Amino acid sequence: MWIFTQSIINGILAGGVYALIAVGITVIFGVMRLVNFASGAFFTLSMYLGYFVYSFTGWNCYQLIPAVAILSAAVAYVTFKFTISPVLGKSSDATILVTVGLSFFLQNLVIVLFGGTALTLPSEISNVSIRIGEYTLGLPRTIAFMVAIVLVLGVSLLVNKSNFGRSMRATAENPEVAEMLGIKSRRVYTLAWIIGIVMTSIGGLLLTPIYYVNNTVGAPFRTVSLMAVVLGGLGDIRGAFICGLLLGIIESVFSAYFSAYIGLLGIFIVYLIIFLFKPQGIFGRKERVG
Amino acid sequence: MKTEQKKKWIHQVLPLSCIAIVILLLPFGIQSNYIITVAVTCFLFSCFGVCWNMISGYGGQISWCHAVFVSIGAYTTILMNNLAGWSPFIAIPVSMILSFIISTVIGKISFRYRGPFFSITTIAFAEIVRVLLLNFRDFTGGSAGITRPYIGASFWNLMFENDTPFYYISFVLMVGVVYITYRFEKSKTGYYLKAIKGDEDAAISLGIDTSRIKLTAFQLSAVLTAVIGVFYGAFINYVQPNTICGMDFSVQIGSVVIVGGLGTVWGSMIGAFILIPLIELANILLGAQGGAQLLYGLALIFVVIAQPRGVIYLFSKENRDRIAQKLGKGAKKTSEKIREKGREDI
Repeated sequence: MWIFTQSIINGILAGGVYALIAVGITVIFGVMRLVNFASGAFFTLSMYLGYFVYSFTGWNCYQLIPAVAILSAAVAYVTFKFTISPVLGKSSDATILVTVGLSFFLQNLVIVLFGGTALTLPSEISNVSIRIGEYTLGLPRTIAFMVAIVLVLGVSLLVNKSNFGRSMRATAENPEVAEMLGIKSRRVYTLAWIIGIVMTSIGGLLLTPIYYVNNTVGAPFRTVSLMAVVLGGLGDIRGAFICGLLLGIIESVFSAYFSAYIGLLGIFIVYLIIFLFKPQGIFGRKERVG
Repeated sequence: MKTEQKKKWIHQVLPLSCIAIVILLLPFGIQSNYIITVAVTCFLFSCFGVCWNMISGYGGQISWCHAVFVSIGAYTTILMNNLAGWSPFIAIPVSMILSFIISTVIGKISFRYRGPFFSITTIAFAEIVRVLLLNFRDFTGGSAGITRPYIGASFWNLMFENDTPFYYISFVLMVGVVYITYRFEKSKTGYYLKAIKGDEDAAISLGIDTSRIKLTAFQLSAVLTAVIGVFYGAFINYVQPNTICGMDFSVQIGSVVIVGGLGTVWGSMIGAFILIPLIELANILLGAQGGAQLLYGLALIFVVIAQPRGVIYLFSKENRDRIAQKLGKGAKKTSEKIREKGREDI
């Protein structure tokens, strides 16, 4: 029983980052119907950006958050301008191909810039853990989880309550009408893309205390969060968040009872089963997605 | 009728057979094994591209798990050889069956709904297979990979002293795959598939079982890819999960097709001959491991944005007309057309 509870706790903590990335993908998809296959590469890139700033300043991972957020927002703006913007409104194949191309490009760009060897961002808390009764919570994961919750809440407030959120939803609903009402859809798209990317980037940065920085570190995170996005019902922020946590738990339970790498297989099997019976997502409305 | 046949002969058959003869004679003029190796890589990637194009080009369902089918072929070949000493030719049916089962499961589940589900499921699947291959160390050699030791040249084992025999084998494979794809394109399923890509609602309203057609195309594409994978495995003699089964390999296959021209047989075939030599050149010039790989990503993004129809568009009649028009010949042509139309009207 101890193993079970402990693995659920671990799963929730690990799921926080999945949820964060999944919400980032969802914000982008919700507005412009574009699945960001490059999220894993931005996740990786943010770790390298963190390392880059660290090598000048020596700040720790949490002091780096604002700097990395600004840098990744800049990268996001540039990539949107040159790669995403030209294919918006074209076929969904084009958007898939461009984001995958972007992902491949960024993944190899970091090798060219930083070399192929794995780097580490030193942190004093990487091995610190909190004890609650007989259970232990790794401190870096706990902080990452809490930051993720705060960011997701912030973004869902932004989307649901603010003026900008209203213009986002209006653009998602019908871009032409939104344009007529004076909403600059291009600007909304750009901002949604930047918000999505910055969320992913912060997720990456928060894991630097426990992960080596190398160019493929983002791949499993991208994979799991894409599955979370699908299971949450494409475009549903709440669904993506809950499914992110859920997949984290599933991975952790499978890893605890079988072996570490079976975790991902467990997620995939659960994904296939849920997708088979509820393709509109766990919280999806009863309608055909398409 | 006769002139038409003659025209077809001059425009299609003659140049193609000339190219074929040049390709067949090429190894006699080249002493360097390296160039032959690159040529074989081109042929094999061309095959992969044509297979990938079947589902992703005609069907518009972008697959990112073709690397898995390649590695099914390659791993089956090498494992069968190492564990039992069996020939790659026995690995062919085994890997065909395996890839058929896998493509059926993935296709059945993800083709029922439209949208990016297929792409997402294939990405997830490829990632999981890579992780499993990395971790079943006893069987797959883990991240160190496995090699097929040299046991003497023989055709039955697809093992030769140099790569020249592979040059011919892969050329024949390419011709075969292109022929199958050509027939597929002209078949009922091929037309259905293109109709689905064009307008899925319209296709459904015409009574086409869209998920069934997509599934057929995916199965055929997967099985062919696995067969080529067997030869690829025998050619490189070394498999390692991160290079052959990662998403990167699928992206390379995809880039080759995009550069050549998505959705056409010839486009997906020629892409490899443009991109692979470029990458090899960049490898030599840049030396770094990431530098040349960058080109795949750049080429992919650039072509999708600038000219989604790829390099093959440059040779198309449409483009020639456009250029002619730009050069001023168009004006004359249009006036002629108007005059002709006038005559007809009278």
